[in-house]
Amino acid sequence: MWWRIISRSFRNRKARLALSILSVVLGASLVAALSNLSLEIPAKAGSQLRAYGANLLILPQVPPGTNEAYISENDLSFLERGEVAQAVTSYAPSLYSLVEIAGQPIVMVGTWLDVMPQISPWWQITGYWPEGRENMAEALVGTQVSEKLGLGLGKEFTVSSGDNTRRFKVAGVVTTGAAEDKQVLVSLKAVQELTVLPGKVGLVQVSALTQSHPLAHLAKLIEEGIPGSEGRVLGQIAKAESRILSKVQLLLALVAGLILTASGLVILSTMTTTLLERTAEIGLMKALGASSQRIAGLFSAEIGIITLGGGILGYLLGYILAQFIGYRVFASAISPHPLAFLVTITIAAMVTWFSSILPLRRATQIDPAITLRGD
Amino acid sequence: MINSELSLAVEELTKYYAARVLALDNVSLSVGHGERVAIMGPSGSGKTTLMNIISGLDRPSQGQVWVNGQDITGLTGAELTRFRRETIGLVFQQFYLIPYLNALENVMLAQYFHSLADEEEARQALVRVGLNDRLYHLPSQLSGGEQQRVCLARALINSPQILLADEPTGNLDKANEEMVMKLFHERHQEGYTLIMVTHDPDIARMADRIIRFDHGRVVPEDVVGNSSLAKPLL
Ligand SMILES: Nc1ncnc2c1ncn2[C@@H]1O[C@H](COP(=O)(O)OP(=O)(O)OP(=O)(O)O)[C@@H](O)[C@H]1O
Ligand SMILES: [Mg+2]
Repeated sequence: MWWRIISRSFRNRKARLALSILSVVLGASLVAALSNLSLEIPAKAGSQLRAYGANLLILPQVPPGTNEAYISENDLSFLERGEVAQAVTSYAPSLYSLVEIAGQPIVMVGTWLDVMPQISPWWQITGYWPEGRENMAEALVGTQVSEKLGLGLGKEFTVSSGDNTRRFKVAGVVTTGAAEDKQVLVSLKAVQELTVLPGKVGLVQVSALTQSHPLAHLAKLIEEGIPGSEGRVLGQIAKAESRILSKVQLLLALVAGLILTASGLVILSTMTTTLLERTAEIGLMKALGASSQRIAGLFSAEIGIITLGGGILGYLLGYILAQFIGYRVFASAISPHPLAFLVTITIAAMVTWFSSILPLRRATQIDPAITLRGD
Repeated sequence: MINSELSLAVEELTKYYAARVLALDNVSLSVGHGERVAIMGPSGSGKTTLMNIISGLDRPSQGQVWVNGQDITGLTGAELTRFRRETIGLVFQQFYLIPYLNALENVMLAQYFHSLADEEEARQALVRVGLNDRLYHLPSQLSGGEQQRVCLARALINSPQILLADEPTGNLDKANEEMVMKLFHERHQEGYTLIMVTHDPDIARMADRIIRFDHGRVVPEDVVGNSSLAKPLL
């Protein structure tokens, strides 16, 4: 019977119901977008940082007018001395070169094969890591290269760079989901010999402790200690992103606040008009012996349905909005967050209840003797 | 002093609206179980005010009202609401049906507020007032007489001890009036006490007794006789 009364009453006031729900939808969608973004973006930025075992890169300073520059491998011993050594937990220099394998151009990376597993612990290897820092015979092959060139475990292949050639055996196939899948990884020494760049390094990945020193300070020390180098803190990327995020959050919060206030007013006024229209009805219900709780219960159910309907629709809309902003501003997908749903429904409920309290109180205070006297 | 044989006993009842408006002035009357009483009187003489106080919709300024031996003037608001739904059936001049509920649902609403809605019982109540083919009509699709019959079914659905009807035929034409009054008296065999306000002497005569009001007071019986003799056919 309860549901019968409510559904009939709704059918009787479709337009007004639609208006109430719409106003909740608008407010709730912004809350949903805001909470989905706020919950998801920092987590994303954090996981990207964690995926990078390295949090500092050392790059050669490129002098104007040239397009190639290197750091000297010997200068890297600076990282193992004094104050700097206390912060640096591990580092791996590498040298990139475009080589030819079976007639195909492939990026070959030379690095310290013994340190790499600490810097990139998430790499998936089938086979094994080539042993030894100066291993000249074995290579790790990216999964895409392995497929394309038919380079399975144990296969041998020839690499040529300019006039030099060298043969390697596949020790392992690496899968990272990133650039490494299209590359071939060997020892730093092997690439230096192939490209005739003895003792040269193109990039150093450093993983450093951040508790005692800010990374920016460490980067500065390194730039001073290693000639022709530039230190780049990887966290800075995340920091710029979080600054944009907080601006988007502020904007969304402001607009959400305004719209929620407007929704509250819309609900307040529709509830008040509805109540005025239904004064005789409520008076009659009381005359028939309906307790104040019963009447409040009927109206609360209507408000509850407006809240839930508006909240759920609003959440879906807001999630789409969050996706859009996520792609456009942060270039990342936003996965739906259960907590964001909870936040959205709670705020929608707070707004609808807050703006219904007064009309509801008035409804239960209607005097049937007066409303039924309307002759 | 209070006879439990009585369905209703009103003692020295006075009702002021604001300080100046004296709607009931020291009214005392009593109605026995199963009795049918018609209340007559000019407009503004306090008839509706009395009905509202008996049904617990309004409170007196002074005096007592006993219903089945219980003094209802001491009850709290919630207790009055409960008293009303368990003891009183109400029929109004303007019908007062919920516009978006059909006839059956309007009757079920009273059941719902009382205890539990029972569709079959509600259907039978409507059949008994001759509305078997109007169960699913909305009030706007019913004639005035049909609406008032729905109201009667609704008022009786929870078996009240007292049925209060304030000008139940005031908005009906002669044919519908007769039909509704016939139902009131037919259903009276179910054993309720009937107190009905009416302006129509023909309807009043069908009651066991007539109580006349004037200026918030009960007009003594002998005076009623005298005055009706003094001013015939006016
Ligand atoms: N809520 C109210 N506030 C102030 N005065 C009221 C109120 N209700 C009724 N009155 C006054 O009390 C007096 C009695 O009113 P009541 O409605 O009981 O008369 P009645 O006998 O039912 O009249 P009618 O035959 O026109 O229905 C009238 O003078 C009326 O104006
Ligand atoms: Mg009246």
